[in-house]
Amino acid sequence: MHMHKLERLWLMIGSGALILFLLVIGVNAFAMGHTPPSDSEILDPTQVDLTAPFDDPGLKKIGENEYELVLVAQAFTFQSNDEIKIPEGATVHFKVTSKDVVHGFQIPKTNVNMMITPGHINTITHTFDEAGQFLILCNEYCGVGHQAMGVPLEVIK
Amino acid sequence: MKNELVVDRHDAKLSMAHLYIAFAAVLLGGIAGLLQTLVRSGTIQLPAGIGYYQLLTAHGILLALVFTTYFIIGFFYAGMSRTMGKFYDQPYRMGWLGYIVMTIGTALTTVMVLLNEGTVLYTFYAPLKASPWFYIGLTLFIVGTWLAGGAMCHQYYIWKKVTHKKISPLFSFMAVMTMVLWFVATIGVAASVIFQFIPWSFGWVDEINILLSRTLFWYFGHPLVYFWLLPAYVCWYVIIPEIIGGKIFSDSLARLSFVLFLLFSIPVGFHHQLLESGISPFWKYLQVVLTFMVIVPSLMTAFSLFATFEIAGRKKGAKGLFGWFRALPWKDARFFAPMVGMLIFIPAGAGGIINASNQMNQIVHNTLWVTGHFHLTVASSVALTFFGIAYWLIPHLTGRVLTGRMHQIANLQTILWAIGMFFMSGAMHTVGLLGAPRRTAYTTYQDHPDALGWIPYEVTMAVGGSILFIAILLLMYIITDLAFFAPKGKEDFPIGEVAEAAEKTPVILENWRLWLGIATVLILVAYTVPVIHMIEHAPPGSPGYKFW
Amino acid sequence: MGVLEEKKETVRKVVTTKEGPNLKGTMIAVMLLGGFIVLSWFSVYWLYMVRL
Repeated sequence: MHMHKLERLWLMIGSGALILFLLVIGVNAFAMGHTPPSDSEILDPTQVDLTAPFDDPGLKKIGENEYELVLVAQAFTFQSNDEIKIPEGATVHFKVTSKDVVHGFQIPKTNVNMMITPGHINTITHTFDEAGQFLILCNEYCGVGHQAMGVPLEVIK
Repeated sequence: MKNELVVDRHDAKLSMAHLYIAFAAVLLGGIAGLLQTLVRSGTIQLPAGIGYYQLLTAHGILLALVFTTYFIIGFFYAGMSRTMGKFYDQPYRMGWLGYIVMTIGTALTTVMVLLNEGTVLYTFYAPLKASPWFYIGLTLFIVGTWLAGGAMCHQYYIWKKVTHKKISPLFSFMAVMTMVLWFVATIGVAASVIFQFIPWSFGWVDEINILLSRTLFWYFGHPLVYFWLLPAYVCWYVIIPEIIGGKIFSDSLARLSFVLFLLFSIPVGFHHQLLESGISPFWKYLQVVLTFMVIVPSLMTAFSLFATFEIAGRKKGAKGLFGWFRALPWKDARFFAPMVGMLIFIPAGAGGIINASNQMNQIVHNTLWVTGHFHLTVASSVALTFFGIAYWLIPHLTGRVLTGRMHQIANLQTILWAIGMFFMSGAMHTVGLLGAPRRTAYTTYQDHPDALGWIPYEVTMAVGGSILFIAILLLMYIITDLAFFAPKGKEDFPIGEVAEAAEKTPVILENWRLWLGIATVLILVAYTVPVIHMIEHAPPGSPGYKFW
Repeated sequence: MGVLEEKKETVRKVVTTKEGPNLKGTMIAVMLLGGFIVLSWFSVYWLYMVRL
């Protein structure tokens, strides 16, 4: 099809930019290990309280400055048997499921953001380089109490 | 065809019937939006009996489904009649039948929402479970739109047989392409509602496969936004050139862009599910790549539109690199509103590319950034274009004129809209990056410092939203005038002519079997494996919950 | 060629050349658009990388 030479040039530049974007995120995702949260583990959504590790949600130290935080999302809170206090510089592996409806799991000012689907588990890892008061909130509408669904996460020096 | 300069009286009635409902939806949806933003900024508390999420559900359904769909169908009937001639008997009757079915469905779902039986937001994600009548209303709405699409396709088919023409008028081709895209897209959500939600909400079935229902919804949900966008593109490609005294830059490239939209706007739903479990990173990334391909026809459109403006301007004697830009008819409301819509599409589209960028979605998903994004795309680019169309379409259909005074008021409306949206959407984008969630009522999460930091932005959103509401009231004034009180006369239905230099349109562009075939292959490639996986490796399904 | 026809020839040369119409303004406009897209994309990418 006949195309004005400037249009052809524009589309080549435009497509080039799009390919560049795809390469940048592709390499970052698959070569540097930053694929979005896509856990494939499943469980019975009505048996969460009886299914390990969700039968005892909480904070567990698993390494030098490394923790696993298992949480159960349910309208309208994130259940944990421990206070969520982590030392500065710690790497935390979040592991979350839902007892009822779809919830969101986000920590503002970080890249921690994932969906929690009943019947599924989702996981994400984050290193808290700086001390401060963080917030774990639900960002997927889950009912009338949705705006109350948030728990603090403290990173101490 | 110069002798088809006026839409037939009966077709005009069918078209107007849709526009009345469209603008009623704008008013009701707009009231909801104003209340929402006043709540979120901590300015007011809702009176007992109205829930925030109930308002939000109404806002989404009325504006994103009712306003858009009714306007689009009304616009398409008028344009097809204008360019192909009076609707033949059967398609005409199918059009009215579709209208009746759509409206029964809309009324049913709206009543359920008002009764607080469907406070599930317009995405109605499982396992939140609404009344079965909520879903039945939605089903009737969709079936009604199928009848409307069927009417248009049938009209197109008869026209081809009667005229023996290989190439249809550009407007009609684009209208049919949009409805074909809609058919293919709605298959997904219809399947989910009919085979999953309705049996489950009646209690005939105890469990629902959540991931599958979300996937079927977003199979529909992405092309839905192109269903909104393409009619705006019809205005920009076909109508604006005539208004500015120019010519359509290239008929072939315009048709090609629509073909590309059919191909690439559907197999991309995963970019709305990037942070969900149960879908592998590979399939997510594949659909991200396909998503980036659907950006190309919009890049083509940007060039075509600027070229149309430049050629028209230079022909009128405009000088220099940008004289043609100044020479555009800025005082003409029929141009100004869609043009502001076009300009807003620049940040709108840029935001969309960011949203779809795989792991970058973690920065923005479910934050107010997303809300800011779609208030630019559908609520500005598309909405302003639709308003701009209404300014000439309504008087054309009702036998009245768009007076000079109405041009001025309409231009004021456009300016207020842009200002309001600048504040509201600008604040939404910013506070979204700071992590403020969307679809959430007023809260400070017990005075958490993060949430307290969002308040100034939420107040800015309320300021912008209030300006927008004033603009909506202005719009209602204009529309009411144009429909019922403006002086009688003849208002043109502008349809552009193709530039002489443009080459002949290849017939292959109207080869529906070919393009539908390719679209089907792409959908199967993008979805078959991951969908089979989510059926075979499904956890036990979920019962329903009514948390409102 | 009469005077009027000569005038028409001159006007047409400004608007259209053998390679097609003068679309320099269009090219600049779309390049600015593209620049905006690239700038905003890398800004958010940078934010993503900083928060890693």
